[in-house]
Amino acid sequence: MKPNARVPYPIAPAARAAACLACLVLAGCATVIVPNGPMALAEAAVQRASTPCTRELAAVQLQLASDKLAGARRAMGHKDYVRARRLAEQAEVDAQAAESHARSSRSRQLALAAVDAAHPSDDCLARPQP
Amino acid sequence: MTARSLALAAVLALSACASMPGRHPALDDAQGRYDLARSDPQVGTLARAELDRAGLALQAARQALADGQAAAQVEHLAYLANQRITIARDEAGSRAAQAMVAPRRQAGTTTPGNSSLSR
Repeated sequence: MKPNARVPYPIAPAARAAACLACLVLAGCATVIVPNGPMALAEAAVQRASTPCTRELAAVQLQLASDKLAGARRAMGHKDYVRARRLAEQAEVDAQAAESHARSSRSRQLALAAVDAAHPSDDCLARPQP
Repeated sequence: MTARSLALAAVLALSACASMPGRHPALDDAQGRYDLARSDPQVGTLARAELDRAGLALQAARQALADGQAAAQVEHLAYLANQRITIARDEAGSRAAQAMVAPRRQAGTTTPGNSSLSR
């Protein structure tokens, strides 16, 4: 080994390790945000969608929203905030989709009922043959 | 020399692939459904706000893909966009049906159980 060999990066190993640690900690702080807002929105959306009408006409969609909200709560418990945020955001939109689906189904039912009421069956309208 | 040229060409080709925005099945599906909904006059007229929201959700998913975000995140945003498109379609259908019923109701025709439609 040459006595005057130059060190390529004259930084003490301890300082380098401290810098790496600081970067990791900062990176962690930058990405992990507790999703309290999305959780609150999801809770409110699922609660709002949980009506007898939605349970009857959009049972599958409402169950999907409830299951995802439960998954988001579990992820929060495990401090898996990325998963919790995604599940909460999906639960919110699923609950809104359940409401829309129920409303759409009900509107169609009522429209059909109105048409039936206005146009009785052909038997009633049929004229007696001479 | 030839080997070095080949290696350089391979590196360039690979880097080009890496920088190109990739395709994503769920995002492509959402884009197709959004285009269909947008070309439907009923959706455009009766559920404009919901369609706009779906468009913003789709844009966010596309941006995530272009930014090279994690596949799970792109999948998640594409899912949100797809659901927003479904909501726009359902709301348009709902409002169209309500518009059919409304004149009859005003004319005095009674229809049972419509309290569940109020938002």
